[in-house]
Amino acid sequence: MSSALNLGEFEQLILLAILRRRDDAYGVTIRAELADRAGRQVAPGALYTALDRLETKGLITSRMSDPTPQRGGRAKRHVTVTAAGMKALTRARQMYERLLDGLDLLRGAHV
Amino acid sequence: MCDTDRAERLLSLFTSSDRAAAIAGDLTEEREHQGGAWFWLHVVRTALALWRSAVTDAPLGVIALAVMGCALFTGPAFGGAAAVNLFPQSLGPPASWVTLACFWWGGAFCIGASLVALAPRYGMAACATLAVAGEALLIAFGATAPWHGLWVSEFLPFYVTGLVVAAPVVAGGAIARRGMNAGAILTLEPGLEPAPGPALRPRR
Repeated sequence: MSSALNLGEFEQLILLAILRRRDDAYGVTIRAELADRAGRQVAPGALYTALDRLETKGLITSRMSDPTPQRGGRAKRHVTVTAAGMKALTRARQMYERLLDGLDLLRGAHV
Repeated sequence: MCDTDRAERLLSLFTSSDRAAAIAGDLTEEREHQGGAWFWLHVVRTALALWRSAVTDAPLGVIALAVMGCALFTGPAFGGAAAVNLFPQSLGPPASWVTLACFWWGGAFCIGASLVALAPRYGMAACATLAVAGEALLIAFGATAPWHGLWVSEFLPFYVTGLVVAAPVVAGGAIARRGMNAGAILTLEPGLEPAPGPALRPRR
């Protein structure tokens, strides 16, 4: 398996947040999605360096939008998950499912 | 110049200009809810994270550049020390220390600019690493040196002048980096290429 397809937990969360936001995934909305859905308050610096890393691995692509006045005239960097990113997420989920198979964590059977 | 411009300038030292603009825009957008202190805290933290990321992406390259900068600095370092020590009659104390500062600070500035010119992508990270490592070594030396030997002797001006050297290293790198972000040299490094289209439109 390619090392690019081995995702850490934080990378998985970011890819899922990007998928949830569809065409409106950029720094602010990804952080909001992670806070709302995963309860993770992510520092902007950690998010941007992770986005750079994911783009280097080819798991996401980015494009710049039109500048808006409420952002001081700066463009948004919109990101989308690539086919390789989807494949990596699918692999991660399959791996979890194989490991969870037969366990009943929610009922505390293995605590 | 507004805070967003200042933030973008700081961030563009460690990432491409279009990404720096997008990050500054994101932080500006959140500033309405979070406040000015939050904004500046995260501008600085993001810049530090980008610097750390550059170092971890290419640790050997950054260390090699920093070592090269250190080696290059031996020229102005010895030049300044020689000017002060070899011509004590022609250079009185104030002129000696001005000469020393010109050699050391001017040399450090040129070295910072040279590192960024040599390696546009990681040069600024190397400048910052060199500056921080140099300051840490000098402070550690100052803290452990015998007080009577360091603070009462004529070695003190050397020490104080050396402590300031980190600033011109970073300033030289920052000015070179800004020139590159604004110019055509950007296209030499993939990580510094500006995004096509809307990002290049004039800002309101």
